Amino acid sequence: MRDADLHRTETVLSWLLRIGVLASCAVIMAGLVLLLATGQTGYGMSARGCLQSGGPAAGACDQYPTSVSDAVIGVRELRPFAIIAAGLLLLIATPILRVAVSVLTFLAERDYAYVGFTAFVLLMLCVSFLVGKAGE
Amino acid sequence: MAPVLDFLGVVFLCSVVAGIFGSMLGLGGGTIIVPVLTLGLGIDIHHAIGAAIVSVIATSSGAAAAYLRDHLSNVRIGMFLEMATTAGAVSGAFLAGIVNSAFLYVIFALVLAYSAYMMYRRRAEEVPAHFPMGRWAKALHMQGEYYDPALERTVTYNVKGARVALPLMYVAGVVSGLLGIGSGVLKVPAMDIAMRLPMKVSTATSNFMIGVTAAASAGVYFARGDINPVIAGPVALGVLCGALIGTHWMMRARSSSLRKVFVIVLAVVSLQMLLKSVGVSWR
Repeated sequence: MRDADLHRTETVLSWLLRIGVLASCAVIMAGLVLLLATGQTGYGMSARGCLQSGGPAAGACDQYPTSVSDAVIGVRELRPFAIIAAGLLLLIATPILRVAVSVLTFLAERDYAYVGFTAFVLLMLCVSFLVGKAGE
Repeated sequence: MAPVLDFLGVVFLCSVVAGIFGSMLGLGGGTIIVPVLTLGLGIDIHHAIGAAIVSVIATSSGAAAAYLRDHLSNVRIGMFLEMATTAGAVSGAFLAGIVNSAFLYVIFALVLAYSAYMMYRRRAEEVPAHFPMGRWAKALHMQGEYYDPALERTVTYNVKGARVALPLMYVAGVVSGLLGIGSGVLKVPAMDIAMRLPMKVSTATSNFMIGVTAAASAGVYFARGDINPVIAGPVALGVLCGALIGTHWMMRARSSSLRKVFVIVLAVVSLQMLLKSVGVSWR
């Protein structure tokens, strides 16, 4: 593989990470602004009540989405906590997307050893999600 | 709304510090985030660990975006070693509960102390002395170059020990899966000692890698409800701001200074692990 190809891969991945980071930042910020503006978490609690007695100690503040579908439903209803959670999900998805895109860039460069490596990493990520699901 | 704003502000500012620190050294910043949230703000440990996972991903993506642009992260080495770290993380999940963790803490503490000593010996080194390419590293085109603003010149470097680094990274993955400790603290010394990469390349490549393993476990934490929006939200924003500052500073810092700070971090974490093995914990 030539240096120009490697530089192209670096540029593509750098932009991918930048877009992912900026998108999640914007969504999280929108959620925080809405939280401060409405004073409500969107899940039957005031923001102040959520933080009472020095912060969200166990049990004080535990109503928020814990799945992608709950987050999406909450965002449609403009619930502040759901919007923040959606931003966090975008952040979590970014490195996984980075691995998937690397498979494609190495493929475009016909660098088959690295296509194999990145595909293996993607496979391990899938396995870890399955293991996590089984452990629930 | 003042108390809410105060809380968000404090979490944000602490996360900026964690982001600067993590992005400069190739660590996730959990070493700072967890004690601040639990001891400082009285937050439940599960929510603190959830926030730390988010912090690792934010540091990684934020820092790697800059380091890839400046050719500091070595994509090939990162991808190659990620095979071992992700496989290790999966194995760690299976091994959890089977292995005695007190014993593991002692082993881990010794490994870190050894790494600290090895890195201390080369504390004055700016760029590794020239050596021929390793066989695997050569076949996989792992050599690289970057412009170092601190030295005001382009640094070209060779790579060796790719075959040795693979099992080391596997162990790093297993340990971070088992003990839930940031794997950057093991990844950087492995790249530094076994592969003889320049310090800046080791930390930038570690930053590139840590997000992937953290993202793999983040799904579980999210489903379990450990990622609380009111904590993890400001943590993510703060860490990303910190990474913006940290990457800027790291490129201009001297490798020898980064190395010295890293040795101190290794020594502190090693001591922390030794204390944990005998049941003393400060988080």
